[in-house]
Amino acid sequence: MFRTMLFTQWTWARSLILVGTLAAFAIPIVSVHSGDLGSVDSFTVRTYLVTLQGLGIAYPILAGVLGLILGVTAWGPDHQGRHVYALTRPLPRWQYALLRFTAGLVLLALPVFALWISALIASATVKLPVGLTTYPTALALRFALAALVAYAAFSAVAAGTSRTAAYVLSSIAVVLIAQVALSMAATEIDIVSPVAAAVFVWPGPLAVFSGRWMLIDV
Amino acid sequence: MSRPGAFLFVPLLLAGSSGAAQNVARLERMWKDAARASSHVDSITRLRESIELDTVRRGNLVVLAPGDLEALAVDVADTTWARLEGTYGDQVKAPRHRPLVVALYRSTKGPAPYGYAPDAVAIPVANGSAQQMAAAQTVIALVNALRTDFDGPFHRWLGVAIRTDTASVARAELYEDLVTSPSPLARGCYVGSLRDCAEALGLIPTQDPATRWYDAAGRRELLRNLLFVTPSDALVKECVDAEIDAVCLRLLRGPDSLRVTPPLAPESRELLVRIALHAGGRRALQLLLDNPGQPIGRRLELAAGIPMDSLVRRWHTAVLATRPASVDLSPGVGWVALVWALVLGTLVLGSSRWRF
Repeated sequence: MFRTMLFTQWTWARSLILVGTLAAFAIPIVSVHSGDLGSVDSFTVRTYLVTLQGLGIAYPILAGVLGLILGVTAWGPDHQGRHVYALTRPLPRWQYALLRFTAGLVLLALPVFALWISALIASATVKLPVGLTTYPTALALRFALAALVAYAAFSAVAAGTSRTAAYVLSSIAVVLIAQVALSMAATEIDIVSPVAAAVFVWPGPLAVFSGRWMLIDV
Repeated sequence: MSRPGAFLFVPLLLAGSSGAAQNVARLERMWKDAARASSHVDSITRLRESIELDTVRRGNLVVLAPGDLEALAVDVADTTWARLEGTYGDQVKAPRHRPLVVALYRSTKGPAPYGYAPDAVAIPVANGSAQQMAAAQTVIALVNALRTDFDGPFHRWLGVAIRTDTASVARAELYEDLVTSPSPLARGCYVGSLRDCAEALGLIPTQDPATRWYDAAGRRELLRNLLFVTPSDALVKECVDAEIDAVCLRLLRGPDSLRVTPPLAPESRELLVRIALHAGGRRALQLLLDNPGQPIGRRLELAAGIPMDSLVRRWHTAVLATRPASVDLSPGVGWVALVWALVLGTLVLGSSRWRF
């Protein structure tokens, strides 16, 4: 049963997963681009770190996008088929949901693994000056956790009813519209920042997305 | 101003060449009269506009502002004076200081209007500009103005203005500067040698900074990055590209040499001074500036009232504390991510097929 479900989910999402896997493989190698930092001056090193920090935003974005793709493609066909396939399975709902969720996790491992291998290759090929360190495994671990949280969040929304998705989207829209209205009223009340802090700052659910995403750092 | 001249130009033509010289002289007198009148009008305008300005005084600080910016001027004066006094102490009130004049004006009305003293620091205020922004601009402008009061050796050594932040506020770039510096002294400092730190900060006088502060690779890098060095210069090429250290030393030594700066960034020295000022209290900056003949390290000791080792140790601790968090996950963040994934995953398991 699991293999069948894994295969069907792979069939539904393989194009996007392959693109995501390629992107995960490309980002560390592209971001490290310079092969020899050991012989450049310190000014260049600092500029390089700033550039690397800028490119580092690609990691959490890719983790979020992969979570979205896998979460939506795992449950989208069920919604489109009015859950007939799920109802015909001789399984309780929770087991069916668990199989779908786990199949998505297995597929998520592909880009994570690609990123880890790529980060290891990039780290091995770059010459660093004293004071800089590579973090290939830490980066891959953080990426894996970020993708996992994103996948779980989007799965929770996608596996629920349309009403659930509407509630979530409406809540986000209400906060944004309220902020726009407050700004237009020339008040200095900021409601987006506290909400964003609650979500992105520890112990918020997306805290793992925050911080410096740098393969090479001090 | 030119209109009387234009009216007189016609009769001048009519008068013919014989009376031309007299007319030119008369025209010149009239032009001068008109210039004087214009100048007088300008001064009256300046006077009128300055009379319309509100004045807010806090200590040695005077903030001038048009009436509609008076509330902002009060806020800016309070904030700015508190911050200046907090760091610069009694020095900012010293009699030798002129009053610090700040002039606020609406930036939508073009350049700073007439009526402000020539040495006033003009701060443009945009519509809807927050008090914090105006105060921050004012503080930056004033600390730069106060920098001109420093004596030559201290001014050259420091290189930047003293910020009004507390002693614990340091930028993350200082850590990056320390660990990526080309100087072996910086590496020694990084691993905890306070003497190396003091030398890297330029606190210990040295006979030959080129060899004391930098090794051969560091000298090449120094020359490569000096802004006033022409990379195409044959000697610079020999030093940087051909890696001939004798040429590097020749460029960095001698009476006509390029100035060698201490290895660490000016912001590192600024942090050290700020730590000394906060340790020494209100009279710290006065003590620092009252001893221009002493070495910088000794002056900082006098200002801070603590030995240089202690001062440098505080600086070292502050810089190491700015180490940016790497991509490494703290256990807290990792576990929280897992818990949230489990919670959200449980929501998936609890989903129902019956509600659409």
